[in-house]
Amino acid sequence: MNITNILLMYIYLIVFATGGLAVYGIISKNNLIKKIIALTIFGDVVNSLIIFIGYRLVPKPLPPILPSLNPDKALYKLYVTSSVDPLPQALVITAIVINVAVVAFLVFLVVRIYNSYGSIEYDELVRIDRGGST
Amino acid sequence: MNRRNTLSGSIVFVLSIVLFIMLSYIAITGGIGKHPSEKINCLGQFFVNNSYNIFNKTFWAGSPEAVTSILWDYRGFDTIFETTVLFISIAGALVLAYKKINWDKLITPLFDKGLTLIVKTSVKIISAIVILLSLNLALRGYISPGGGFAGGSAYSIAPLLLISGLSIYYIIRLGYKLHKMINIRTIGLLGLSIVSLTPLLWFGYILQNQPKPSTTFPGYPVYIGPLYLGGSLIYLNISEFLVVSTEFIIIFLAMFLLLKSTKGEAE
Repeated sequence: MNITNILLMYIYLIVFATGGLAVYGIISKNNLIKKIIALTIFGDVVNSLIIFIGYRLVPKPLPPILPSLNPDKALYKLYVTSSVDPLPQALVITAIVINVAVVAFLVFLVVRIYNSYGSIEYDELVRIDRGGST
Repeated sequence: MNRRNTLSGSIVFVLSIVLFIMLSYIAITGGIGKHPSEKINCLGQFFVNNSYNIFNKTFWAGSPEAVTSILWDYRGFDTIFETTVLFISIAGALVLAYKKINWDKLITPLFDKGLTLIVKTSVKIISAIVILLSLNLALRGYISPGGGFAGGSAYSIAPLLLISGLSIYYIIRLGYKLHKMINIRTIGLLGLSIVSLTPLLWFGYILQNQPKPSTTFPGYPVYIGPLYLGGSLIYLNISEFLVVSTEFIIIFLAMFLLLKSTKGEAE
């Protein structure tokens, strides 16, 4: 096992530890806004994992942008052999925007809940729903 | 009540640790398919090879930015559906908010309370910089990192900063009105549809950018004189910039107007 594999495993462990924390937050937090924050963290974890899989293990990886508009053969060859994978990045941009849209909608729902019930604590909402006083 | 909470909390904690160990095991043993290595996926390699291949232009997209050319050329339908998802979610949020906004209450005399003068001035300077940066991201998205989505979401930060630093009334007086934003969004969507449907007139396919052997569409111009345009990407980026930025601003405006006009009702 060389140093690269250890580093890879370290990154996987960090990513999944953050994911576990986010899942814990989504389920166990009482405040609805905190639940939404944990949900966005979970989305970011998945996005970073997808981008990380597209990384290229060469000494000097390049971003997937050709640095010149009139490349010669040598520059083009360097770019083709050392650029990272552009496909995960394109997919992740889509995922980020949809994530933002979903979060905006959820925040709107929370605002409406606050307008109707006067609270965003889950326990409090359950108590009100069972007939307790506000 | 309290005891039940601690019990369920510890169960969830144990469950998430189990999930974490399981996922790590799957990843380390190669369960998610592919580790980063010296070679990337062949599909990604195809996009890298062809997005600005001036030696063989059969499948090129006319843009050195591989990510933007995937977004708007190779996998353009993805992006169109994504715009639809954003559209529907904003429409849903507006439906939730619109009837609750009390317009009469909002037209009453406007005073800027906000924060201190230092905060107000610095917020104004920062939002000007943010607007410049976002325009740069959107307009040069076909040759440098960025694009319509990144530029649009960066642009919408500026009104948000102004709302939190000064007040919602300040940006309404600046011209960020709800109905105006909805109209600009419609213009952006119209631009998207025109650019994506134009190739059909030459028997091309929807969202076609550069000429292909199977169709007679001549392709959007990559160069006009010395000016580099990058095919259809620049028009699509500008339209998407309009759509995304105004949609986010609509969300912020509707949310803060809703909060202002229902203030004190809940208690």
